[in-house]
Amino acid sequence: MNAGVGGSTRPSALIATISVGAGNLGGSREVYHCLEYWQHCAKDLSKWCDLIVNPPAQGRLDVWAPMEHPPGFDPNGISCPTPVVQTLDHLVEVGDTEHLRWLQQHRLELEAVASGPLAFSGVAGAAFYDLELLPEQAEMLFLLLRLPGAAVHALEQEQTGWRKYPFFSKGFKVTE
Amino acid sequence: MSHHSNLEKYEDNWQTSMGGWFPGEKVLLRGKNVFTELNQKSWMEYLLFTVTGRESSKIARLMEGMWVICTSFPDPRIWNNRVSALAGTTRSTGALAAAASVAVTEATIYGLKPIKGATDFFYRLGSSIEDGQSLESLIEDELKLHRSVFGYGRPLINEDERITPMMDFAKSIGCGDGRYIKLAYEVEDWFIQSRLKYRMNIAAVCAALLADEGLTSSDFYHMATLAFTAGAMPCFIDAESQPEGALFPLRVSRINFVGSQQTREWRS
Repeated sequence: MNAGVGGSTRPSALIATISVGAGNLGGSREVYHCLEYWQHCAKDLSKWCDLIVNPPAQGRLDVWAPMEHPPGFDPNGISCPTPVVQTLDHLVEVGDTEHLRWLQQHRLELEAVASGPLAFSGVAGAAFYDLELLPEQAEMLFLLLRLPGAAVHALEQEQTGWRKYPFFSKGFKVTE
Repeated sequence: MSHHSNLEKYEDNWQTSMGGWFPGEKVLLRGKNVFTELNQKSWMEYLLFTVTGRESSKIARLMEGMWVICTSFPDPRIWNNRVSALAGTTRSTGALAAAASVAVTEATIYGLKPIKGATDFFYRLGSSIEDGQSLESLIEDELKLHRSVFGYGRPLINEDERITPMMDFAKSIGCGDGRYIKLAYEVEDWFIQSRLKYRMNIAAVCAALLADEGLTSSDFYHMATLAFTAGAMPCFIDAESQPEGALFPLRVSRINFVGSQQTREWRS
């Protein structure tokens, strides 16, 4: 959207989407970590609880920051949003796959341990695991799948323009 | 082998005078040895040589002043910086943030399109005036064709607070008195007296200053590609240092959705 309102090139809108959507918060890196958790825990609830409470240490310093919340859960959420529940329910209904169904059955328990509601990244992680994707494959596919939505938002804002786009003039303060 | 494609001659065959790396030995850039002939250059002098083939401490210093004074502001509200800040708040990487910000900087209301366009405009203007056309008619033609003139007018605020410090800096190093910067001010005078009342923005100033040093619009464009990164990076660093997702979150109720109210039918 920022690319759209400024009249940036259309490819730049997708480049920005990939860069911003790649991270640990709701991004493809979080989905990557979800798959790692699934690989480690599968349908063992006690392993999930243990891994959530005692996450793996990062080891050698990386360009990716360490996770600050359990992957697949929203650190800023209060309750599981309706669209997330609906998506999970629908995928279970149409796919009837084992790990999505397990996630649906144990969502509340996992959310309690994670101290945060399930997020779209968590649903996506389970779905990719059921599709037998490796973590790096899931990371790539998650990036690709968010591009169409980003594209239409950019095109829409290109027409709407910067004047109607929030600039947060009053919401910005430089402190000492 | 018979000739099948224009690409055939390039198969395993890239020939270039730009330079290259000789593993374990040296690096050449435009015929010069980086380790022995270019190693004392400042980064900006090196970048200028890379892009244009010119060696000029003065132009490099002028460019450096532009990067510091004009283009690298650490404000996450500015659209290219906001992308970088968003990457910080979502915990992406610094390189991805910078890459995205650089890409988005190729914008219309700011950034690389005005930079390239303003330089091109001044060169065309200068050439047409030499051919006998009037400044007024040239500006009016530009407006009729494009509805805007790159380098004039600005989103959010008309006046550009960067012009005075940039011109002071330019004059301090012996720039700022050339033909194109004078032309830039003449164009501003026309706009001020017109109904549009546009003021010159910094793209016009920088374009004119560099045109006076003989840089082409492509030269300026390439040199400016990275010019915003020192503003984008602190936005990333700042957002990364604050809680995840904390950059200007918007609750759903603040989104003015005007689309269809039809319930989505999920396919089984």
